[in-house]
Amino acid sequence: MWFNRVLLLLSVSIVIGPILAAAQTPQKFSQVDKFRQLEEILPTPNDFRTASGAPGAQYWQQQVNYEIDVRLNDDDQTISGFEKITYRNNSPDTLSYLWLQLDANIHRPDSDANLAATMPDLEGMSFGQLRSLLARQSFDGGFNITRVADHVAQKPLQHTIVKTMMRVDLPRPLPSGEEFVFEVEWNYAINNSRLIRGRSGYEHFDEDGNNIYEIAQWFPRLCAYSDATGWQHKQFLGRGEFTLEFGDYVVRITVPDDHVVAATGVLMNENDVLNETQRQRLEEARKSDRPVFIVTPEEAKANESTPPSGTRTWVFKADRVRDFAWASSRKFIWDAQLHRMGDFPVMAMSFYPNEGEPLWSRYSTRAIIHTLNVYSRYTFQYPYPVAISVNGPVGGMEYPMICFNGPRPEPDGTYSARTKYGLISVIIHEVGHNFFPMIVNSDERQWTWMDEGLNTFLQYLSEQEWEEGYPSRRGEPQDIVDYMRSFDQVPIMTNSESILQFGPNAYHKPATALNILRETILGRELFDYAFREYARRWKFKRPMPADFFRTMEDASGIDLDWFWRGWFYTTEHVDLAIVGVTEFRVSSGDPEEVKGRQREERENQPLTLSRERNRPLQKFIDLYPDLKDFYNAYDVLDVTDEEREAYQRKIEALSEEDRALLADGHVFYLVELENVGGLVMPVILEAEFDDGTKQTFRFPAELWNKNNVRVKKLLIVDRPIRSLTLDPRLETADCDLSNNRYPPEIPKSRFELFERRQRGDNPMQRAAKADQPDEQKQPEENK
Amino acid sequence: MSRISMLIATGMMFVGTLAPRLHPGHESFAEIELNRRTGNLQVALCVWPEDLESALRKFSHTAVSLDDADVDKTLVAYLKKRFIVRAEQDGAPLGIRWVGKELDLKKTWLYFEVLDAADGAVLRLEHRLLLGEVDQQQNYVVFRDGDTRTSMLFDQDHPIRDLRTGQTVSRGKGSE
Repeated sequence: MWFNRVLLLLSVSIVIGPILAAAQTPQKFSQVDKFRQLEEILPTPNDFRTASGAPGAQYWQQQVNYEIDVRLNDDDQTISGFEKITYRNNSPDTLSYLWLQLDANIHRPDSDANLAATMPDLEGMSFGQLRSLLARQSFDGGFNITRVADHVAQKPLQHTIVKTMMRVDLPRPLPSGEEFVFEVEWNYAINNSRLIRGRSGYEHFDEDGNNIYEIAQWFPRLCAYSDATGWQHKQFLGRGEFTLEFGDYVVRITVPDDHVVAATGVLMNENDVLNETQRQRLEEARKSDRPVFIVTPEEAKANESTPPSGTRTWVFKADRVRDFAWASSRKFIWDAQLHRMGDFPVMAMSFYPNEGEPLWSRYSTRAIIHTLNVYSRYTFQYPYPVAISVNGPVGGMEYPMICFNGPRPEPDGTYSARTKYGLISVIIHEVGHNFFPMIVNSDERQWTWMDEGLNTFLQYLSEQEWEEGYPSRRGEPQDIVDYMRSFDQVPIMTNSESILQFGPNAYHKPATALNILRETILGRELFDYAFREYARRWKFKRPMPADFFRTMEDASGIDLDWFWRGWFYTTEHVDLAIVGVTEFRVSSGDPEEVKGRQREERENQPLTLSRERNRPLQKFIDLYPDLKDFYNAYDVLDVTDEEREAYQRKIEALSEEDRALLADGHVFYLVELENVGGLVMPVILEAEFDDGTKQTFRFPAELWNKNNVRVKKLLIVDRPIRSLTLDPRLETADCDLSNNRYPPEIPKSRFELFERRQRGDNPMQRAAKADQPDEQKQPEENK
Repeated sequence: MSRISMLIATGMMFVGTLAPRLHPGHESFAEIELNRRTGNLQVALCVWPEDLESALRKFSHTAVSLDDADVDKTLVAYLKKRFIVRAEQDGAPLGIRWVGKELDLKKTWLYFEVLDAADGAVLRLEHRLLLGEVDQQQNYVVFRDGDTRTSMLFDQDHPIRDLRTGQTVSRGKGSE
């Protein structure tokens, strides 16, 4: 029944691209399996972390509560503090010592961060950089630990400082389920951020002689102790931020009495530190639908020139936070607006100097509220009572309930669109960090991407909900291709301190990967459900990478191991190519049609050079025609009566259904695809037909699961295709679009495209250019 | 910005001092292609506008804006100092022909040519764009000559690298 085999032959009318240069002759099979399951890489599931990616039945984490008294000395820019730490051992283990982080020790001249830094570029160094270099040689901003003692016994505790860590030896082993209370006293000099930049520091204003302090990573903090890592006491080298234990804080901050203080937590003594007007304004802010000044710009300005008369202590309480940060200055304007997340009230507040106006009062608190709304929708409801944005010396850094953000307008109060969007974006990003990692408490010191990548992804979603066409830098697939095709890179799954190209690796690539996962692979509904499930499972807990990978699969119902393997464990990039397209049509077997097509192909064969030159030569049989016989007139492509009759008999033997199939005119295109970049991805093909209409074909990444280098895909359409485009809407971060088209197009470099546009100016544009300065009008020659 | 050239006497060692890493995000990307027909390097360089604006201000000691009509003059002067190609290790900088720029809120693209670059088998690129003015700046370059493509990273530690023409070997795909 030869007609039942549809693809009989047919005319190969179009073939593009090189023929497979060499057939693959693997030794059994030479390809790496891109779909190999991750089980052998991921840690074995256990009672603490399940194979589904959820916290296990025996999941535990430590609890550390702090009571801190700290004093800021504005005269010499130092702080001194006392803390009472209550450490509850919820682990199943007995502990004989505790580890604390001393992050400020990174500011010692002999810190590992300084010693491990490689040679700077001395030749191109500016004076500012030289001043910074010299300052780091002389400034000692490390902790002076003056006392470590057992709180109950009031006896000193043996302790050992190991660079940015401190081990405190317990007087007796601490069994599971018990608490140990101890005290630490310390002081240190705060870094001048103009000379030594960091996540904390002070900014001095020469014009009025005042300072803004942004104080973070400022007290000896308990290291995390977990089932996954034991003590997380990797030295602080600068990039890997931190991971800590959740706990409750009461912090008493003593500052000059004209300072305004912003801090993690709720202000407990409004009556002691705010005047009546300010308290009334706070009440207004609790009812207002827009920010209300608690300290006005005029009051802040006046405050700059009056000396303090003493000190004042601000008391804050924060529950279930992993850290505590604060800011203080007499320059602060303060605005606030109560925002209700359902029934839960959150006080959104901003603190900034007049140098931040008018930009900050217009956008900061509003950006906080927008961030809380969008992030809560994609994760869980924001659970803290306040959310604060502070302007000072730190460009962008996050802590629980409070973050530091740098952008300011010009001195004359004007600002560019770039500054405006830069401020909104950094506030969204840093406020967003409340969710990752302040609440979903991933280990930043080990895995930067777990908070920065996820947060940058949600930042993108929030920016796009701020206004139509918001100029987001990270999120759209085509914005990552420059990085993806570069060579000096390491996989996302790289320890924070070893990452090359830190921003693209830990922020941009994972954010883009998640956006692609959402838009192209899972779809919004599945992705959002799974992502929200991850956030909820690990809210106020400590996830590891496997918990994220497993939860996203577990909740979506889609095997994503190939995606995690490719995007997170390799540096491969996406570059899919159309290497061949072959058109097939169903043949009826009619000898007139078949031989007619063969005749046409024969006639279309190129005339060879020799045949052409031999044509005029006198032929021997023309001189002696008697030599001609049957074969000189016979053409193998002539249709015989026997062939016609045989065809007729076969047609008559077909069923009505088969005859209809023969007549329906389907066209078949065998599209050969090559995976040039290595990273497997779904195949999205857009066909444009001769009539100008289009049809999109989407095939899952599993298309590549048996051969991840070359595959063929059959497109069945009802009319001829004029052109094909791979990834027509730029969904997959394909790094080379020049091989995404059939028929192929000669690619133009970005430079050539720009030059061509320049040359394409119309006369009016050229006339306008004639009026421009010479530098723009004439290309510059510089020899 | 004032610069200190040849600051350090031979043999003098500094302990390194990179500023602590805050949230990063200062990067530029350049496509550089050797046009064999003209012998020039065609450069398309993408940089974040606020970084470039900040650098130009420090460089020129004036309140430059990328929106200024005459900003190209400052840009070219800056490029001559910060993007230098030599045909020989200690040779004179090759000339620059300014072509133009594209500016939007997300990115600024600069287009220019480095003249007469086809003679050397190895071109030395000194790419210090923003390195003196912006903390944590990293500059990525993809260099193409014919079918070969090489990518490289320029930063404070490595502001100078060689572009190998002709015999440039394209590096393999990333690995697991």
